[in-house]
Amino acid sequence: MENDAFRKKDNRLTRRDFIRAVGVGALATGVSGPFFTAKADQPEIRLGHVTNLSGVFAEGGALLDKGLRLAFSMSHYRDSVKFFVEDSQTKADVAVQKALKLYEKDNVHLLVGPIGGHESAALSAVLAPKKKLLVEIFGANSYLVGKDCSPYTFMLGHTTYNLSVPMAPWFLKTLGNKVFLVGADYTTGRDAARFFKEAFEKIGGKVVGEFYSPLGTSEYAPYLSQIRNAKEKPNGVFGFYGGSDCVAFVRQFEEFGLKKEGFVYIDTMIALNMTLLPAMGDAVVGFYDCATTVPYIDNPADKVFMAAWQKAYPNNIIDEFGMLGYDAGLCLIKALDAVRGDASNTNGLASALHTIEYESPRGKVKMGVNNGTVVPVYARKVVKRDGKFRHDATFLGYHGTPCGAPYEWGACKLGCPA
Amino acid sequence: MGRLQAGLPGVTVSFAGVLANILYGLTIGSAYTLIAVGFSIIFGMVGVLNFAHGGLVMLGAYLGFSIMALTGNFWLSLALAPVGIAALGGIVERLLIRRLYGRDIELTLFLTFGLSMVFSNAVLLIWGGSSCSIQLPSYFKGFIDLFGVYYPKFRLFVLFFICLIVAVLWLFFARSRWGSVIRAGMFDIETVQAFGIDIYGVFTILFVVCSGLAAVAGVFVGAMRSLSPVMDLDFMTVALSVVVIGGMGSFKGALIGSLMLGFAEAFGAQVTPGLAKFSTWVVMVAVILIRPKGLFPER
Repeated sequence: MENDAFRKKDNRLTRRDFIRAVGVGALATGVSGPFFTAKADQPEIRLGHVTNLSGVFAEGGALLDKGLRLAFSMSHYRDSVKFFVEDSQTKADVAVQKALKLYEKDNVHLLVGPIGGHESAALSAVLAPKKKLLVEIFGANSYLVGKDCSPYTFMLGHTTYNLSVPMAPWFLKTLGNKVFLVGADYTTGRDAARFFKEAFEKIGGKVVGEFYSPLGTSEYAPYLSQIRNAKEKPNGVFGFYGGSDCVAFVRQFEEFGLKKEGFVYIDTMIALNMTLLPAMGDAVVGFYDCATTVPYIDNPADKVFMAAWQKAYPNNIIDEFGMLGYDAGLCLIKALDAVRGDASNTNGLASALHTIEYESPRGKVKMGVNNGTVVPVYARKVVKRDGKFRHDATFLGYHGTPCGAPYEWGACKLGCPA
Repeated sequence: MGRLQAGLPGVTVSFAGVLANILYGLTIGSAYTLIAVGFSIIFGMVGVLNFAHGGLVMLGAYLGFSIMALTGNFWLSLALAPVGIAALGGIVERLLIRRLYGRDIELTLFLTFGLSMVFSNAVLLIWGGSSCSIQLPSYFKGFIDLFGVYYPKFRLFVLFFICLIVAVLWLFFARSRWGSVIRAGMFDIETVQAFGIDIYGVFTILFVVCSGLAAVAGVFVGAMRSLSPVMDLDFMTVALSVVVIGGMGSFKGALIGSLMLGFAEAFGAQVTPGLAKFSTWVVMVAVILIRPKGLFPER
């Protein structure tokens, strides 16, 4: 469905603002080659977005959409793009139904996918054989850049792998060699813990215990005692809980005294994001997560984004989801430029996305040969400065997701990064 | 504390661990009691399977969240949210549910199911999909060492407070005149009316009180966990499970059923973490097989 309210909001931008925003945006995104200018008869771009407007990831889904729209509103496609948004309800079967509806009834040209790794896997399995484009902003699933990769599926954000494995050496160096693994009992939660475990044990780390609770668990009290009762006290508790699961877990982690006893929680997959931090309150201060982006990081593209976001959505704080939605918008705009705005050119768009490189608020982003991005990765500690939540970030380097025989997600037929 | 190896691999059992699970089970079970009592009594007496009951718990939690955010006063939140939701429950009964009394049970089922969707979407519309939770005042933060178990102060308060409410409810149902009317109404509404009692007035009061109790549970759960627009489904599952376990319309059944669910959840998560919810279904199936009408059916 088209969001007219958003268009009305766009109309409040002055011409001067628009020209400035497009100019700065173009510079920031490093648009190369001939600059594509929209014409009055520019073909319509029908952009589908299956996102999480309810369920445990609801807070992120709406913000991703806002970020995506913001990028387009600042681009030369602002008048030719039409958004079609559907709620996946964080359920894989619903996500597939909605994606098929968008492609078959609404005739969208390309589809941006939802947050859950289980959703992205289901969507790609259905859409790739039909040669339909799927661009995942989150949807972290390593198999989609391994044996399940497709020339039509693109993982823009991150995978469970590149936001878990770099944390192993960081953990060993910063916290110690004993970890307790936890997580939501579904693809992403299990994979994050397993990839971390393999990397951690390879460098001499030890796992002293682990548990996985069902996705959507709200009561962690019975689980938390297992951390305290572990045979050896861990130096940290690592794992992935997202959305409302993460809020409940972190709050109860503190409530039941684990934090006071010196236990530290390390989440991953950008879980301790700006949107969720207020709900966790002071319980989250001192805990860590792993992310591809840090709000308020000092780079030119981020400054452009922050100014535009604050103007467009003054009631929304600057957060990672909005930024990643905006990032995806920048990527799609550059890919559309490569096909001169012809969104119906699916193969042209797929080729452009396959080799795309762009500057975004999170830094330099480059698509790997297996259609997974190589992105900056940070270990972030949650702190409170002047009563406001912020992240103290440690840069862990640029990381993509490798594939091939050593990895259980196998080789991607498109190739594997060296 | 000494530890004993339990029969299951990787599971260690200690006195502190068992005590902790008993406390978790009691606290969770007591919150479930407030939800299930209202659902069960309305079903038992009025014959309405109120599928919007979970939505009332959720609305209570969100209203409590807003009052706390606006005033910073938890007690005001605990007092005003139930009053607001009790009024909503009364209005829904008077304006909508009353029209369907004496007609097929499916009609009230459809109506309340529709209402539950309205409540969920109202939450999305008003509060959005973002996770939030009711922040506690500082004196409720921290924990108490109970024989080696670190137990949060607030949860102990919840346990104590709900015990008080349950005791008052018990006295009301067992000893008061109006408690007798409600219990009699579960068997024969016509006879109760023959005594000159305005049974529809009693129904309204029942909806008001049960909605208020649901909101109290909502505020407590909202302060212990996190709030989301889909949390009502969890509460509905709990309420239905308790009715199956405890028996329809039974106060005692609702109490025992809730505690059994709480313990199943607490110990189930300890023994088979991935199957914590499954253990509650096992309890339910076992009760159905042994006592198909529940443990303490009133009618």
